[in-house]
Amino acid sequence: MHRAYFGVEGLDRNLEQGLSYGSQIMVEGDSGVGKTVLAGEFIKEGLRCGDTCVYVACDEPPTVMREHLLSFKVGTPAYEETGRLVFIDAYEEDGSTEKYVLSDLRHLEKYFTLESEVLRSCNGPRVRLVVDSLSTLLTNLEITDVIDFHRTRLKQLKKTGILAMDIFVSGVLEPRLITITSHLYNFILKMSFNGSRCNPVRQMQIGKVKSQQFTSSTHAFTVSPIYGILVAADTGVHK
Amino acid sequence: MNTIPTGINGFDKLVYGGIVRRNSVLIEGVPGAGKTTFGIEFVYRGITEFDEPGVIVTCEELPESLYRDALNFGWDLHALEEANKLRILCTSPEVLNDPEVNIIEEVVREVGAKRILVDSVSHFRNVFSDPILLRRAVYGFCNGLRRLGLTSFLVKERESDGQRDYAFEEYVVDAVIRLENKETPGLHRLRVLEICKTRGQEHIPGKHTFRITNTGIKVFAFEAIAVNSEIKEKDNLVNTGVPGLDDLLRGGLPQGASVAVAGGSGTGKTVLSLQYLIKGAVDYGDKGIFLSFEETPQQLLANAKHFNWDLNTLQQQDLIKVLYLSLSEMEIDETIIRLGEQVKAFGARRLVLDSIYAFLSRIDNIAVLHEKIYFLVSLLNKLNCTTLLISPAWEVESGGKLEVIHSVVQGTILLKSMMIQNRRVRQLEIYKMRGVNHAMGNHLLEINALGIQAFPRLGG
Amino acid sequence: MKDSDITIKLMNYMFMSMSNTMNQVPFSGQHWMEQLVIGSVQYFIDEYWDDSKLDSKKPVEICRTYLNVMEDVGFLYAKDYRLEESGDSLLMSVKTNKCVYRECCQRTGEKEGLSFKNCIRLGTFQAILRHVLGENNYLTSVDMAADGFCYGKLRPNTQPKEEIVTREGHIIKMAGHRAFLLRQKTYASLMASIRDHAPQILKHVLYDAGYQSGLSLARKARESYPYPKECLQLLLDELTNLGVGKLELVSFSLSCARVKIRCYDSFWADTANEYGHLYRTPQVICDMLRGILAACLSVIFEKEIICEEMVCQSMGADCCEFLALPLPQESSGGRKPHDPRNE
Repeated sequence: MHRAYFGVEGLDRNLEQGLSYGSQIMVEGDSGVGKTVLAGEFIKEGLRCGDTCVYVACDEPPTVMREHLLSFKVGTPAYEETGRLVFIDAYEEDGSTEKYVLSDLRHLEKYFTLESEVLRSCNGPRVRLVVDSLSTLLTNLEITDVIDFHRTRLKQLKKTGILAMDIFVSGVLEPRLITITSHLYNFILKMSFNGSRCNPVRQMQIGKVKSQQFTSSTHAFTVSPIYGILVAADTGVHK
Repeated sequence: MNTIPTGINGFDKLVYGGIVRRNSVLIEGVPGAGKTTFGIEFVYRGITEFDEPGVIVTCEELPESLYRDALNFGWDLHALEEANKLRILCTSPEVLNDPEVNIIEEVVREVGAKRILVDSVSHFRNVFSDPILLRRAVYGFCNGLRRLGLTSFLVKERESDGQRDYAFEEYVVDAVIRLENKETPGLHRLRVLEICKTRGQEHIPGKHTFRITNTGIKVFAFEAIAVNSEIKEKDNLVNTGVPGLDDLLRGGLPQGASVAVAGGSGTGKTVLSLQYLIKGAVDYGDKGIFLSFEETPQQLLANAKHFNWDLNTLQQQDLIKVLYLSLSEMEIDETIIRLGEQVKAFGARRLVLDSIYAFLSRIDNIAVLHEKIYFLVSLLNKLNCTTLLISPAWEVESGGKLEVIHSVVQGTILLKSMMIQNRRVRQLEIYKMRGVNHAMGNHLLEINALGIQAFPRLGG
Repeated sequence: MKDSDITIKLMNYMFMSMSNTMNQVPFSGQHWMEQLVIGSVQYFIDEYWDDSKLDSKKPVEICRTYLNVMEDVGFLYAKDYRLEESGDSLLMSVKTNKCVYRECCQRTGEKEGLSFKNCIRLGTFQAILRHVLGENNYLTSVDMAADGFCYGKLRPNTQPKEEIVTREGHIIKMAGHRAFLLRQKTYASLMASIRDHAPQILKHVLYDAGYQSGLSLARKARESYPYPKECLQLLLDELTNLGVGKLELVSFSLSCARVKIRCYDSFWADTANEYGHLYRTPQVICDMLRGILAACLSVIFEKEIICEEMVCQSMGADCCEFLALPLPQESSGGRKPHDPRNE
């Protein structure tokens, strides 16, 4: 049975059994806290493990993630050429030169169809999916539509054994929606700024790990341009 | 049962092969309905196709005009007479009913006739004013013909198109064929034939269209079709070639089904139908026919080109056939019968009929419309040809006609166009699909550079 | 002299034995084989050679004179060998069946895995050229062609040979630089130690270390072998000699700068299989080799190449497979990997 990790040492240490393929990860965090960096680590780890990785770029063009991965010495062309790394451009709409483009953000069913099509075309045995950020796709939509979308999509992802990471930017969606949505995920990671205004501290907290023991401790972390996310050693900063 | 085929194109199907030998058949109808042509063809086909010499008795026309009219169909009666296969008698009813002068018996013996046309028995009325005497005379006349071993066609004028009065002749003769030249909605005249009675044999009831072509009469007979759609295997599904739609249909359309695609203008009916045929041909190797009463082939080709579909090449490869019939030229029964023949000959697995409005505009009688559509749908089902019937929008006031169509077809797909948050959005709803547990509700439909695509609504 | 002459046969046996032995020597047996030939020729030179007989000190004349001397002692016929100049290089051709060493060449060539790359005749030319001209070294290459001729080439080499390990007393040197031998187990514990103390740097350390060593290796090779594919092949052979694993060039596109390389029995994959994996999940592990190859290819193609290990033998594959492609042009943000031109 294959198990998956984030590729972030201090975080993986808290996941003794790792995550199973078919799990859904919810990453919720403040703007600029390092969610995309975490996504990059997650993808890098996936590529190293032989997974096929799909990245849905909603908040920036896909090239930003390409360059981010390159800065971590991940040669994206080799993986893209062999179909191991696939980008979906949900940012540029009409002007995009990407192979997969979401041209219309108003209809979740169009996103769902495109995502399903891309995932179906992945021929590797294990697939990781990152949507950065899903909250962007869900703004300005009816809450019932959003919940229907979540149910259908997450059920499908579970059924097809996709390891999915959905990123939510804090404050974009109604708290009620976040609460309902979070029930549907196996693993929840919250990332935030803490500390004083002149000395902000990045923190991450594992909010939930379904069917596994976990300690809901808070860890301080930094974002290094070379090593990515560095979680402070086990000491853990408790509130 | 000893029956003889008339040899008239399509007619024999109505009587399951032919009429009973030595029966008397009455052909009645208004002037110009085609009675004489019908009778002459009966005799002519007998001689030329079944080696049964015949006799034509006429009380009206001069033989010359008879010969001339027959020649218009390529029937050379002179030559047949010279070959001793045919005799034409020009006489009066009085002579015919004179028991002393057995003129018919003579000519029948001369050529060994098996068939006879008497044009017309209406003249008997002129001789016998007493109905009882008239009836007896006709009865005796018919028996005389039967004794001579003749199968006879008797022509009778019909004075009006009005209330049907059961005249005595109908009781005396063995079969009655009524010919009409009807007015239809849309300023059209339509030749119609109805077998009112056949003694001692079955016939297909109802009115059947026929046409007088330059080679004779062609009857468009709706044969009875054994419908077996309900016991079809569930697995035989036809992929629509429309992304998303097959998911909504849980795999595809049931093979052989006729499905109405209804929607207003601009909802994507034609694109959807074209895509159905083209993807069917390209991706599944299914042959398809597009029968258009509205857009010309050039318009369709141009339409397909928008999506980079090369309809021309597909036609050259014999995968798709585009047929065009202008609304003013088409006859419903003929169209249906010919369509069936084409589907069979071409081996079409898919068909698009654009649009069923052509049928609606011609038939006012809902029962008749039901019958025609039912026949069409059954025929295509029997031929295993999965069909999209493009239909006007559901909401259009049609006096119940659209409801008839939607009740007969196996499925209905509604295409809609509506305003949502100030944006026009196309939607698709599978309103019904017999035997399929399809997804309900409205789903997003989009036309883009690649064609038409449905996006199943999430959450069910 | 007749071919059946037992002395010729014995001489061939000796060379065959030497050649077999040298193939078992780590690093470059080829180099030692050359040394053996040159050494034995030196004895002949000492006894029979006279510098004053030379008309000119042109390499081609030296070799011709040497052939004549050999003919004088009845060892061969000088006219069997054609010699000509081609720039700085010397071209030699001889009908294979006229060469006294052919038995040795043919029989070692037949044995799989023992490709006899040294032409003994060319080795003797190397020896006499070195004797007359001093330190000037020549590289040899030979092709036993299907037309029944051997075609050889001698070309000047300005570089010292790189792969040679030498021992002077207690000092071991590799290509003139001090070295020491490390067992796999020690290497494994070194890596495990880095992982335990600073897990985040492990991959970077390996890649960067590989990249740096690859750069110096590739730059030297580039000077002697200007043709990209030839240069890469030489580097792969050299790396194979160094023991990283058996490297095989699968595809090479000069125009796209796209290269696929396989490595059988990679040292790192083997270490993981033998002494345990460094990471929580099975994953590609040859980051050092990836760095080496990226550096080599960046030098060869003269632009930044990034190399990815797509499959690894440590994950159960038959071999490791590397795919190298140029960095995308539009790349601007982020920290760039090493630029080989700035080093």
